Amino acid sequence: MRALSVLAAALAVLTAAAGASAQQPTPDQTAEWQQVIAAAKKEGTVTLYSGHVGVSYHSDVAKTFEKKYGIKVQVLEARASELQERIRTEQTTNRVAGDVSHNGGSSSVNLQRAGYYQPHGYLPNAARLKSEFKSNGHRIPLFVQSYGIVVNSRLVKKEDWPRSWLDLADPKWKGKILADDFRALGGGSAYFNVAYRKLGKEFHEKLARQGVVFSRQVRENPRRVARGEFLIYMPFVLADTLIHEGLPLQAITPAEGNPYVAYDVGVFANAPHPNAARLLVNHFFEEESQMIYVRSGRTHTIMGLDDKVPKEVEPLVNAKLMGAPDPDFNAASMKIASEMFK
Amino acid sequence: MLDHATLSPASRGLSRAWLARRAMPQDALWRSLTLTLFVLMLGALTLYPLAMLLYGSLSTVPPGEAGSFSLAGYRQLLRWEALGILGTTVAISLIKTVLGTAVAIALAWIVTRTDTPFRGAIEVLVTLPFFIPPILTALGWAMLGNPTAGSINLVWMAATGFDWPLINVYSHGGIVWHLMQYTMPFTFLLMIDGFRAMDPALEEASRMCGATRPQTFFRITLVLMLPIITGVFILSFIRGVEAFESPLFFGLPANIHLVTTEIYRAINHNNVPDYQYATAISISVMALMMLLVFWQWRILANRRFETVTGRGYAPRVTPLGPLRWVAFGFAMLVFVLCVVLPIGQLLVSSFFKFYGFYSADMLTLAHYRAVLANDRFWRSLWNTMILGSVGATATMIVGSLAAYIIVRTRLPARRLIDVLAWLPWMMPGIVVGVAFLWSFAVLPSWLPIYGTLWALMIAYITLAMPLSVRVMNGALAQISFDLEECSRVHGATWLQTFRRILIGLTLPAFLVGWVLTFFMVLREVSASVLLFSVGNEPLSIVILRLWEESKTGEVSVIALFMLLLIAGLRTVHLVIARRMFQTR
Repeated sequence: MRALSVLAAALAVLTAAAGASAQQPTPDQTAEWQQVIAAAKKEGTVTLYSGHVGVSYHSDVAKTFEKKYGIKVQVLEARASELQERIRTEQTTNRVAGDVSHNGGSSSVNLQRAGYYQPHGYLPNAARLKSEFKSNGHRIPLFVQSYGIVVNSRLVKKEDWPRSWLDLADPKWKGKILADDFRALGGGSAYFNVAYRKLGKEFHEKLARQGVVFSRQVRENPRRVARGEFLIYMPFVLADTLIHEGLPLQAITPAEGNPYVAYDVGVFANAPHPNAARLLVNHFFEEESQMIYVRSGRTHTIMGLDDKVPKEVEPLVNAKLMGAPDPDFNAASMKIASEMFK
Repeated sequence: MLDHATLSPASRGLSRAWLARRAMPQDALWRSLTLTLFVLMLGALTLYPLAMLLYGSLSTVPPGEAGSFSLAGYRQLLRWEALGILGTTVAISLIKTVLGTAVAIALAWIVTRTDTPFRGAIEVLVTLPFFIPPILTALGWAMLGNPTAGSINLVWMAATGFDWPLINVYSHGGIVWHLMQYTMPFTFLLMIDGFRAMDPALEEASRMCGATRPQTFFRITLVLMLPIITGVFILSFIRGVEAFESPLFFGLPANIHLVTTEIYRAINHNNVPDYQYATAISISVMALMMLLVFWQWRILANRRFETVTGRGYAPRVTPLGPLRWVAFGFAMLVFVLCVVLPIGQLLVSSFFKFYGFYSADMLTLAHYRAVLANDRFWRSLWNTMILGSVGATATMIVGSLAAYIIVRTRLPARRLIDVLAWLPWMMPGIVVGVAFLWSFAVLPSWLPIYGTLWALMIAYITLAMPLSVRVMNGALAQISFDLEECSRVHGATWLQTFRRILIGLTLPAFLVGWVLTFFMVLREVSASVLLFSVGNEPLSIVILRLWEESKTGEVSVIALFMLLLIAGLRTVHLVIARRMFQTR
């Protein structure tokens, strides 16, 4: 038995060593990367297209990148549907202005399938990714954002707070629920994609009878709840708890967990600044960049940061998760939502 | 020297043609080439995007992709939903025009025909909303009239104890109200000179015949002003159909769609953009505009200015007695509602963490710090200054050349130039945006306009061209041909004559047109929203984006900056206009 343990330990050490050596860059890769840095500095600028609007961390990461490499980062933020069309027009007319894409999982999958991403090639920081967030050669998960429920804590007694997603079907919430639109690309469709498969058709038919009101103003919606216009908003970006401090809002992670979306980064095909694009993508996985996301309440995708999560954001970063959207179910899910929620 | 005024109409025509020949450069080839290039440029600004719009409405695929042709876009227009949108647009524009013009008539009457106190100040104050971009007043009213968090409703509910709001801007009424705020000063500005020029003897005769003040107003003043009012009414109605900001801010959240927001939604809010439908709507809106413009031309062509008689008259006013203070109060109410309240709301919101939560612990200067540290703000301010100054200069040069050819030559191409310069008048900003989006996307790669500042610049020049041509037409028409002839007789070249006589005498009008075009660039949203790209966003787009991101505090700060800029420009405008008036 003891011999077996020793053998197992030896095997583990060997495997780790082999893995470590596999993650070590080859001299060719090191030399190539130095060339990428030099070429990126010559390019001098890089443009990021992000479908994640109304958040400050793009500019925070951009500043650290600009400081480190002296390369200017321009950011275009737009809603997923608008951004997707802008990218399509640029790619089909060969007038590509964006270099790096930052989009929710479903949009990213669509963009890759349409051929709008190019392989990102060797990136030193790719070796730091957690095993569940590996790159597929085109797209790399940058962070994870989960969606829960938020209630007006002044108008809803604690004992009445919904503890499960299924509680939202309770008739007492009829006409009092505001939601991000399930029928359009974004947080609403991500929720529906996951929840429809996990919680079922029947629950959502009941939810439809609750007279849920849709609004795509995702940052404004929680404030409408805080003002008492509605009592509940869902799906609520859990990380937004931090930007609404001072308002009478209580974020809730239901018993089943939160649907979540991994936001991917990738390099656009025919990017005008391909080297700066690769350098920026790599920079997203530096510890300082990942900690910006962690401090904003989002979950990191690289190893070695689990112990560095600040106490105040731990409940947000480590919230229980229910599942991620299935890209193949996306179109069907939006169609079902459109039929169910007229 | 020819006495131009004493010639018969026929010989005057000959004389003009002769002068035109003398006034143009001697080199016929050079002249033809320049003229052809100019017509081609106007065609590129107007006919090319129109052709692309038509192509887009028939193409089954988005720009840049190979596909076939069909009438599916037009078939979609025949759905009840699309017809309903068209009907709602017409109804809303009609209502706001009726109400807005009625208030403008009352204000014009108060300022020109009554003894209401501080009429000079009233005239300046009630025209202010014309110069404030609608997006800024929309922001203000969105925060004033939100049913739950709007300041007016918060005050109302606190004062009365009721739990229902006094107003809700997210409604048909909200759209009408916001559109009216632009209609009132717009129609007021266009009508006031007509009211001012009217011989008071006509009203006095009515009063002497025993008519009351209201009878005189409705039977004499209003009837005499009817030709002008009708022309202004149609113009205002067209503007209402073209409006984008009001339905975007107050219609979309309430699921109310008008044609402009429907075009925007079809391209930017759908999972798969529906260009064919969007371009088909654009074509149909243009057809509607064309009908209205032709109707307007017919009315203007047949109008008779019988308000101004050949007899001299003293500009007398109707004494209102104690009612003059009621008139003064009415004018001030308009000013408070259209200017003080929305700007006051922007000021308040700029100091609070979240709008609608007005407690001491929510006070902050963070929005000012955020805006001052925001690269996007500074970049867009710079872009707006470039677009405004270069765009206004280019537009006025193009407009001046077009006006010169139209007014001061007998060239056969002048009618074509007149029509080309007028075409954009019938194109709402969002339609120009869609048309140029298609136009730039399919250009060969050696002409990289798509996604650059040029894309916005070209759209702005197109949109502002009718204004610049009209301003310069008026100015050039007032200059006697004798002056040009005199200059030529004294040995000046065509270029010297053009520079010293025509440019010299029309410079004030050129500057007024320049400032008005700059204002247009500042307020433009609907074309920009489709044509901007990263790095070339104008200020109005940054405001719209920040609003969509619910950064109301930062939006308010930028709006206040923009208002300061506008105040400066308006001062320059007034100074130039005053000098122009004194020169005459």
